[in-house]
Order: sequence, then C-alpha cells, then structure tokens
Amino acid sequence: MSINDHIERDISLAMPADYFDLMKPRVMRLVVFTALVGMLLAPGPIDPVLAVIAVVCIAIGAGASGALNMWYDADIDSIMSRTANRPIPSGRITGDQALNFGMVLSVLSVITLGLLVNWVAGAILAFTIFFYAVIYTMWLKRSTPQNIVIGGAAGAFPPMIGWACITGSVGVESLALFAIIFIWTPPHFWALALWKMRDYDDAHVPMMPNAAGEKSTRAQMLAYAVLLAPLSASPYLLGFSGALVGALSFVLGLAFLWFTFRVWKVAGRDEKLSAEKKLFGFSIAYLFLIFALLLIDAITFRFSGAYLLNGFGA
Amino acid sequence: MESGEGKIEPGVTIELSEAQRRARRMRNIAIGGCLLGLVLVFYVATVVKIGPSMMRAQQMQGQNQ
Repeated sequence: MSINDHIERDISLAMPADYFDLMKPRVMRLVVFTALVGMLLAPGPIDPVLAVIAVVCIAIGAGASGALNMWYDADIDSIMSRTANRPIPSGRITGDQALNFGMVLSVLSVITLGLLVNWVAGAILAFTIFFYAVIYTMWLKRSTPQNIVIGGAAGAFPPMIGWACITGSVGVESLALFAIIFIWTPPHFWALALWKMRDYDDAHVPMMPNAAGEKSTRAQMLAYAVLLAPLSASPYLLGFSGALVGALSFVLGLAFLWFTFRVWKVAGRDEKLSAEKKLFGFSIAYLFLIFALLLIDAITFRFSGAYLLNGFGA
Repeated sequence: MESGEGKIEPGVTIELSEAQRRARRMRNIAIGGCLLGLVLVFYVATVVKIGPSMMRAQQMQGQNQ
C-alpha cells in the first residue's frame, strides 16, 4: 500500500450525524427530560434563558460521557449485536476522534454550566461524566455483576443537577428523584439483559444473569421493584408534589411491581421471554410517566401556587 | 510520487475524493455552527445576568443628576 493510499484511507469520512450518534441521543433525551423536571420542581425563580442553557449543558455533558463510553467500549460493542452498528465499531469514526470529541465536550459543558449557572451544578455534572466514563465504563462494567446497580447512579444524577441549577444545593427532594431512577435501573436493565444474555456472554461482560444466574437475577429484580413502589410516591411524601400525582405515581410503582412479579413468577419458562420484554417496555413508560406527572405538577404549582388536587379536593 | 524512504516528495498534494471533501465541509460547518452557538450563549447569558443591574445603576445615576 502506498503512502497516498494510507493517507486517503486515514482521511475521515465522518459526518456530523456520526458524531451526534456518539452522544447516545436516546439516553440524552431522557437526561434532558429528567433534568428539566428537577429544575422545575426546585423552589426558586427560573430565568428561562439560563434554564435553556443549563439543560443544553447537561445534555451535552451526558452526550460527552456517552462518547467516552463508546471510545472505551469499542472492542465489546463490536461483539454485541445491539451495539455493533455504533460509530466506532462500524468504522465511521476512529477511537481517537471519539475520545477527543468526548473530552472537549466534557470540559466545555462543565465550564459553561459552572460559569453561567452555578458551580454546584457544574461540579455534579463533572462528577456524573467521571462516574459514567471512569467508574462505570472503565472499572465496574467489566469487573462486577453489580456494574449497572452502582453505575445506574450516573443516569440518576441529571434531576439532581437540574435541582442544583436552581437552588445551588442538593436537597433531600433531589435525592428522592435520584433514588427513583437509581432503584429503577437494575430491574429495567436486567429485563433487557435476560434476553440479551448471549451477547453479554460473548463480550465477557459480567451482567447479573450471566454471573449470578437467571433465578437470582429475577429475585433481585423483584426486590428492587418492591422498593420502587413506595419510592414512586416519595415526591408527595416529601411535600414537593401533590396528592393526585403521588397516588398516580404509587399506582405506576405497583404496576411496575406487577410486571416484575410476572418475570419472577414465569421464571423463564416462556421461551419467548415475553414477560421480560413487557417489563422492559413498561419500565421505560414508567419512568417517562412518573417524571411527566411531576412535570405537570411542577408547572401547575409555578403558575397557580398549588399542586394538582392537593389533599384530594382541598 | 513516493521516494524510496517512504516519504512524499515535495510538491505532491493529496487529492481528496468527493465524499471526503463533502464530509470535511459538513464537519467544518458543524464546528463553525457550534462555535457561533457558544459565543451567542455567553453573550445572551451575560446580558441576562448583568443587564438588570446595569439598568438599575443607570436609573440611579439618572436620579442623582
């Protein structure tokens, strides 16, 4: 191969859309949504311009950690069917390009959030990126079946960042929002892992079903779902959402428990694993609905000074 | 084109293919757009953050005169 061929081969064909894919847009959507809810629920005035800037910074920070994750995990991504088409394994972007992209976006998003909003929010964003890229991706993911349990914290931080953008602190309320996502993550992820076990096995990633067995995984999922039901109503119990939203959230938590119970009860006897697939689908709907309810309540409170049906008709 | 030691001879340039040229152009536009966006974000945020106090200072100056 001549040098010219080498250079031609090395000249990137990457389009901006490929870089955007590095940011895990679907994860970013959830991050934007939960951060926005955290922001609107927090007590204190919101400047709409700064709120938009804050949400964009949080989204870009999340995207940056996604790019760093794809850079480090390119070897196992190429083995698993679910991730084989990501920008690096498919050859659209090189590992170095992804690393540079992730690092630049991490620094820019944290500095912008810190300078323009506040440094508590900036610091939590920086910690979130560090936690996802280093603690989860580099350390836990390949070494312990508790990887997504602890790593789930990275996905749970965004509403906390949103809250900190308004208050400049971390209150018990934002910890409750954190806890909902944190406890939701294991049953959500393991439902997927139960029917993608082969993939994780091939990539030597010690996901709970491969490492501890399906029976133990299903039992653990049930335990998390039991915890999640009362946690779903915690915003009402802590006084930062109304009774109607609290009751509906609790019902959603019970529905989550029911779907998880089905997974535990059927225990893989159904070869199609439809209980697991249903739980995975419902878990996404659950998180969206819980935060959508809180969003409606937060907006109602900001406009009228009262939550939806506070105290059931009070 | 290529010397015996594996170096490109002076005066030889690399011709980009149409796809490479197009991808580079799109990346440049995207980077330019992002930089412009960042400038706008800092400009607007500065106006939002210090604008009201500057207005107040001007009003007080007007009252004192």
